[in-house]
Amino acid sequence: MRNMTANSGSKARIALGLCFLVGAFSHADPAPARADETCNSPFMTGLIKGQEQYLHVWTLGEKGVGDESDKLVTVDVVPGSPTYGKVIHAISVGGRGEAHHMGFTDDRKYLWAGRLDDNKIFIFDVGSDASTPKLVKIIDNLAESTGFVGPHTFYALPGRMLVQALSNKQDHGGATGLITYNNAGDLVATTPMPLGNGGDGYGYDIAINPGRNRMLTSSFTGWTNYMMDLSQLIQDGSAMKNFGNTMVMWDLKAMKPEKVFSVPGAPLEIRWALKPGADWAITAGALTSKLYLVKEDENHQWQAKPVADIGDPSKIPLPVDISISSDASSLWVNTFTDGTARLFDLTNPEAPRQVYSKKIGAQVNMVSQSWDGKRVYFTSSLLANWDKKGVDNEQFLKGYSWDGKELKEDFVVDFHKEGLGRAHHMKFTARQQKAESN
Amino acid sequence: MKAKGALAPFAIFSLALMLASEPALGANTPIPMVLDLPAPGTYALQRIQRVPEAQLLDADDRPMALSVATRGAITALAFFYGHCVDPGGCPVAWSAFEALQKEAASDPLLRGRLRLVFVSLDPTHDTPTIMCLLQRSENAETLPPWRFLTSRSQDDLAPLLANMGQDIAFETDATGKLTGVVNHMLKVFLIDPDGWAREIYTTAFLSPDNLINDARTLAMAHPEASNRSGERW
Repeated sequence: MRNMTANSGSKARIALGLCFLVGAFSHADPAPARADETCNSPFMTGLIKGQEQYLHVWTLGEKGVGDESDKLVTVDVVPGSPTYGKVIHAISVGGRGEAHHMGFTDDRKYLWAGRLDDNKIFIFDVGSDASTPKLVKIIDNLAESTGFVGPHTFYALPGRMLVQALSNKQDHGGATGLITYNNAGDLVATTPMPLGNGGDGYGYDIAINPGRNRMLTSSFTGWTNYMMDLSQLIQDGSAMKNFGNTMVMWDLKAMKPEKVFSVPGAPLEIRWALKPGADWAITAGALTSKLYLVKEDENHQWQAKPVADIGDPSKIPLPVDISISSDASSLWVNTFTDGTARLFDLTNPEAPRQVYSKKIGAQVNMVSQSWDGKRVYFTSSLLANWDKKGVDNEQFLKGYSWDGKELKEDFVVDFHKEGLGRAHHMKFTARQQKAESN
Repeated sequence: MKAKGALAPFAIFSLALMLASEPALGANTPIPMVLDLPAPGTYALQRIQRVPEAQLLDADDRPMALSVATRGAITALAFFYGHCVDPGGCPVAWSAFEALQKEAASDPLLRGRLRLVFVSLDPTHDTPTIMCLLQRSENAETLPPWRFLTSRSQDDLAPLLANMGQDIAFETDATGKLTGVVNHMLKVFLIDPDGWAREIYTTAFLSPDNLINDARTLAMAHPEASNRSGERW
């Protein structure tokens, strides 16, 4: 069965032939892509391979800044547009609940955005008019209905949204799980992270390789830690022990953990290589300042191993978000402490090497790049209680051009001056996102 | 059976030509592969959503409730349109369904339990006449049944598409004229005898192996399933 060819569909060709006879015209879409803008679910449609039009920033409300409420901020990012680099829309959702990450549904019509403190999930319609997202639903019973708290990663499955929680309702520690909703927002299933046999129960990110029926998850920390002031946390030896040190390889179809890898120091974002046939993934350990590679060994056993240092680990640069190029040849790695973006050459994923760095600001967290890698965007906020204080609490969205040698700043949106708050996760949209078959 | 629409007779004539000539369209259809799947019956498929009711038309131009086409059996359902030539679209579903039908024909677990259903996204062009021709071409005594359904109008179809998350857009050219292309995200639904969608496949996950594996898993969980349940089957 695995060696089927397209020619098995002989009868299908009969119907295909009808197109020329009933007045339809040729439609030569490219082959479906495996992934979207390098970091989204491979099950998502509407790949933006050209110029993104809007950049949406899930923004934490900040006391004394604007209306102090969490909000979804939309910025025009089309060069030459009269409003290029400007905020064109913002929708406040009320209150401050630790706004964090977002994810599109499989059809890219809706954007789900979570809050780590009050566990609310906001669903925005971005398909009707991406320039003005509309809030259409709030899921506000996550803790009660699942026992988990801290909805972090939103990862599209066909017809569903898979949510990785960070903590649990009972003790606000790190034991947590995965939650599956259908696209209407109805709860479908809960799946605990593995505990025992090497599993530490923590969760953070999700990344799926559909061609191998494999899902990877990573691990962070529970509510008690991520809501604690960072300076207090790092002086609390006991609390500092409560970070995840594992990644888990899952059988996606069965939603069963298959293997637990030892990956010390809170492995965060996971990126599968998008190059066809390159079945490996990479992640960064926040506390160990290392890149880890997940790949099959010569015996076809999945393994995780450290492959590079990120900066000087002894200085705790705190690597945060990463962004892989669409051809898997390079990786942007942000280090929060020194506000620096670092580019690693991934030509040999077994031995990544830093080839470029640039200070983006006093602090930097998230990074998103366009499919062609020519545009790179950065935001500043990590967590409300982990962001720097005083003048170092810069809050921004910065857009850069990348010519392969140098990052050139194109625009800056100062989220304090604009009365917005703390800029966190970013997602792209375009007004006319043609539905692809992916 | 009544030919609906002015183009239908032309289409019938053309279909005959196609049957004779077997054009090479679709030769580049990408067939995704999914490796390392678990063995059938060793896992449970999630109950994702209830498949809504909808009033459709069968290939004999008679009203047919979608539930009649799905309930009681293990059903693989896809939305399609007859003139789709997107190599990553309907042809992928078509190839997967043909593989599934062929495999099921020789599998005692699936032979009497599996149904295949194609529902047209384009009732204007995909008349019952055309559905009838396609249905005849895809069915034989030795094969699990494959039904081709359409609807009276796009308005009739719209609620079903919305509920199933099947987003579509009719492409227009620079002058605003319809090109005939229906942009859509390919989705295949595997439905249990109680009317629950238990798996949804987009291109990245729609391999024949994956579909067959899941159909076998559902058949093991539903030994009572029968593709002859319901009077219209």
